[in-house]
Order: sequence, then C-alpha cells, then structure tokens
Amino acid sequence: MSTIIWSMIAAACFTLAAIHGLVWWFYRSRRDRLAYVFLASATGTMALVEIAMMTAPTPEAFATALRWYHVPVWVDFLAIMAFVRLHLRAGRLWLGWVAVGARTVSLVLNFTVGLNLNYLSMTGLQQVRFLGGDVSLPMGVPNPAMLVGQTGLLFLLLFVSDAALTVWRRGERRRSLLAGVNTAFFILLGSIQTVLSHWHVVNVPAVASLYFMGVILLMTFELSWDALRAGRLEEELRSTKEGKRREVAHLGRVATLGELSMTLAHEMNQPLAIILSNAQAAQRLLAKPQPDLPEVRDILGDIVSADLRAAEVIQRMRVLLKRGETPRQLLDLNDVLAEVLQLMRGALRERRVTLTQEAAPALPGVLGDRVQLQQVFLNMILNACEAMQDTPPVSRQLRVRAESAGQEVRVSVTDSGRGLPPDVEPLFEPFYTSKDQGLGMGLAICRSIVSAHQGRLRAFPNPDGGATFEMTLPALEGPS
Amino acid sequence: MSSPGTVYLVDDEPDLLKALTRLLGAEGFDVRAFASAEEFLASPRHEPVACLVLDVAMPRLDGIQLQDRLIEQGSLLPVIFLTGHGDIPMSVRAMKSGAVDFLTKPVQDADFLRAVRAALELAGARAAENEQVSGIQSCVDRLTRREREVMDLVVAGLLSKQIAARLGTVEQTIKVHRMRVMEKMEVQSVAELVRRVGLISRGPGTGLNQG
Repeated sequence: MSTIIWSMIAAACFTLAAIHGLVWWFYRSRRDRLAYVFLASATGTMALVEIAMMTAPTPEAFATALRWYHVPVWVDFLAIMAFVRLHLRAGRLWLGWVAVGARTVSLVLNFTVGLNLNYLSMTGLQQVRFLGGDVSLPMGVPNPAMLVGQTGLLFLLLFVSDAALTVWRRGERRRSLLAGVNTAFFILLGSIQTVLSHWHVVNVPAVASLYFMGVILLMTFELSWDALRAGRLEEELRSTKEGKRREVAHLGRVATLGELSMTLAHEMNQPLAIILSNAQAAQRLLAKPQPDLPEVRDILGDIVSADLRAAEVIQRMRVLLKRGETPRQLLDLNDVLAEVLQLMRGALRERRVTLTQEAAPALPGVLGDRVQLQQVFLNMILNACEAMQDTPPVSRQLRVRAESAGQEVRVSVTDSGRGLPPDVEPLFEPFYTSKDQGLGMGLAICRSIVSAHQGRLRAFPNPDGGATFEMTLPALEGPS
Repeated sequence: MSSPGTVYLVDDEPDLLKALTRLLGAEGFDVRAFASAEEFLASPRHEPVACLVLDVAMPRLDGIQLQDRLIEQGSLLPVIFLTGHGDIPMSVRAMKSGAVDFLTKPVQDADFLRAVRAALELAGARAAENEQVSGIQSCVDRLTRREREVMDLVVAGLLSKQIAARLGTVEQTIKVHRMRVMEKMEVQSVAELVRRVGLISRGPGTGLNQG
C-alpha cells in the first residue's frame, strides 16, 4: 500500500517537474520555476529512495539507501532557498546560507562518518505496520552528526518563516501563505516527524518526501495562480489595445464623417427637397376641380422612395458612427464599395469629380468588418477627391476598381490629382496631413484596419499623373 | 388658358426634376427639363417667354458656369438658382451676374412659383421690348445708306440746312431723304424718331433666347 502511494508521489513530482521544466524552457527568465523543477525532481527521487528503504530486505541495503537519500534532500534545501529568494523575493540570505551550509556539511558527514548521517551502525530491521502494510524500520546507533543536518533544517525553517513574514508585511498575503507559511509549516512537520523517527521516539518511517510533496503542491498552486494572473493581465492588455484600436478607428470615422458632413447634409437635403416639391405638387393637383389622381398616385410613390433614400443615408451614417466592432463576416467588396459610393454621391457631385466604377462581376468573398472596410474606402475616395482639388473640374477623374488577383481581392482608387511625394510611407504615419483641416489620422487608421484584416494598403504614383491607393485582402475561396 | 410661359429646368437629380416639373405643370407652366447643363445648351430653344431654373451644384458644367456661358452668348434668359446649400459668396456672384433669384432646397412652392412668375414677367417685358427693338431694327434695315446718314444727323439735332452743308448737297434733297426716313421709320415727328432710334442704340441688338 505504502509502495503504491509513494510511487504515486514520485510520479506526481516528476510530472510536475516535467511540466514546469517545459514552461521554464519557454520562459527562461522565470528562474523560480527552475528552482521548483529541482525541488520537484529531488522530491520525486526522495520518494523512490523511501520506497527502497521501506522495502529494504537487509540493514545494509537500508543503510546504503539512507546514505543516498541525503543527496536529494540537499538538493531540496538548495531549491527551497532558491525558490523563496527568486519567487518571494524575500528571506535573509545569511539564514539561507547557514541552512544550506549545515546541510552541505551534513552531506559530507553522511558519506564520511558512520554508515550514513543518521546511523553509526545498524543492528537490524524491524517490520512495523504502516498504512496497511509492513515496512522496514532501522534499528541501530544514531549518528550524532545528524544534529548538523537538523540544525540545517532549523535554519531552513527560520529562513522560510522570515521570508513568509516579510512577504506578509509587504501585503502579499496570498503569496506569503501559499509559498511561505506553507513551506515553513511542512518543513516543521517534516522535521518533527523525521527527528522523532530517527531518534526512535516514534516507530514510523521517516517520510520527508510526503512533506516536500505538500510544499510542492502549494507552490504549484502559487505558480499556476501566477500563470493565470499573467494570462489574465495579458488578456486585459490585449483587450485594452484592441479597445484603443477600435476607439481610434471610431474617432477616425467620426472625423471622416465630419469632413463629409456638408455633403451628407446635402445628401439628406436632396430627398427632402424631392419630397416637399412632390407633396406640394400633389396638394395643388388635388385642389383642382378634376384632380389627376393617377398622377397623384405616382407622386406618392416617388415620395415614398425619396423617403426611403433619406432613411438609407441616415442608416449608413448611423452604422459608421457606431462604436465598437461589428462581427467579421463574409463580404462582397463590390457591395461594400457600392454602399460607400452611395453615401459619397453628393460629395463627388459637389467636388465635381467624375467617377468611373469598374466592378468585377464575381468577386471572391473576403472576411471582414463591414463598417471598418467602409471606413477605409471612404477615406481612400475622400483623399482622392482632396488630391484633385486643384485639378480643373473636367479632368477630375476618379476610378474605383475591384478585382480578383490570385489569392487576393484588390480594390484600387485612382485619381488624377496632384500625385504623391517621392516617399509615400510617411503618408501612412499618424498626424501626416496635406490638408488644411483633418486630423492626418485617416490613412494611419486605414492601414491599421487593413493590417488587422491581414491585408495591405499601399500607394503609388500613376504613370500619367495622380495617385493610386490600393488595398488587398486575402480572398476566401470562390466568388461570394 | 394660355401658358404663362416656358420654364427650363436644369438639375442633375432626376427625381427632383420630376417633382419640380409636376409642381410647375400643376400651375399651368410649360416645362422643359434637362438633366445637365450640357444637355440644355445643346437643345434648340425658341420659346418667346421663358426662364431658366438652374441647380448650382452639377458635375462638369455647374449652374454658375452655365450662367456665365449664357451671358457670353448674350442671352437675356432670366435665371433662378436652386441650391442645396446656399452659400453667400455664390449667391452674391449669381445675383451680380443677373440672376433673378437664388433659392435653397428644399424650396417652398410659394417662393418657387413667385420667383418663376417674376422671372417670366421679366422675360415677357424683355421679349416685348425686344420685339419693339427688332421692329425698329427692321425699319432701320430698310433705310438706304444716305437715308441712314441723314437720320443720324437729324437725331443728333441738326437742321436740314446744316445736314445739307455737312453732306455737301442741297437742302431740298435732304428734305426728301428726311421724309423717306420718317416714312420708313413709321414715325410722325422728330421727337418720336429720336425715341425709337434711342431704343435700338441702347438695346443689345440681338434677339432674346438666341443664346
């Protein structure tokens, strides 16, 4: 029975050592984990040696096993000291070194004086009942050198308790309890038990690995807690960054719509004008002795469609002004472009820009955020219009083209404006602006949006003057 | 009921064009609608009494440019501007160039119709004046070169004797020329002749709506 339990302890220790060893391999800076790995491996070894002792057939076998037992114990001392120093960043160093020093001296004595640290000579083994089975217990003359080792144990206890107290005072109570007080407690328990057993006060085997196992389990909890917290922090950081990106994108849209506001007012005004004149025409028609009812019916139909048109403009604006992110969905960029162009009809007319639209008949779908991509197109087109401000109206040509290119879908906006500076990269940097008004954030935001879509946004000059801004997004399979 | 006149509508927004056509149609105006300034310029227009309702913001040739083009061509067509967002400099410029009115969309029917009526009234007055001018002009065209010279000197206030001296002939001959001038110009008195000649020399000399 005890063999099974101890095998399980050993297995658990080695497993934990392996897992945390792997974690340490990827995060080398976490040296407390390395200390933990040593602690767990040594404790696992202790458990195996304890099995050898408990099942020792002869006093000689027991003595040899006990002699080697002190090697992993020594490693545990070092590892606990290292862990407390590295993880808790506490503990008086001198206490630690006294503990480790005493243990090192006792390790030397272990191999030089008597049979091992605990016995000068052994007279035999007695079988005692332990956890429902018979285990071997040694009989013999205790080695006084044992006191050196036990002094080390005492100092380790002091070192850990002191560290736990420091951490507690620092206000890190959970950490102090899990990694400090717990370690001290199990060391204390282990010390009492082994001292009593080796001085033959009680007849139970010295099973230090059990106590170290306790230390390890709580340390594991502490380390996992750390990992969890790190994960949560990372998540928080990421969501903050994502939130910022979203916020900036939203601000960009607000700014863009601000620039477009005159045009949008116009866009709203137009249907209102249509509705008013139609309605008043109908009133006049109905005031006649024989009203032309079919004509009035037509008028009402036109009023309805003008109203719907106004509602659609409002809807588009509302969508663009909405905060946050819409879910990624399968999009046909032709549709997204059409929506933007509908919104910009007035802007183009007002700026007297002639639009040529080349839409590929069947464009592969892309995965994207509709609103953010609309924002990108809005900016690309608005920039193109602004670049043509000083171009004579007759040659203000805007070409918007959507096409499939290999594994990508490409949307390009070509203008016949003033062209580009020789170095185009600064265009995409924040606060770069060639306009009198405007934040200079447009293209920077656009590029970040396109990058978040695994796409590219580039600018290059046209051979015959003007500039082309080109956005490519990875295509999903097949035309959508 | 006879038509109060023809209204040319130019707007690139087809639905608004339709609505305004209906409104004017309900009031008995003849309406000719054009979707662009170019289309308007390209179509022949012979309506005697007409006005132009023009959208300011249009692609390529806009309303203000069309007005400039018409002025260059000597057109006397009264122009009413319609704009989505009337900005002051633009309206000042339009009014200085002789626009009858500058209205913002959405336009109230009463304001719109009042402006159209005023414009057509102006067009009517101009047409009447023009008709008179062209009548006088055709009289003038019937004069011989000599008669024209004599008329100019009469209008300048010279006596027949002085005219004869100036032109190197006798007074009697001048008197004959003078009689022919009065006959051909269809006037009874010198005073009337002076008024009629005054009209054509002041007038633009080109017909209305010939832009």
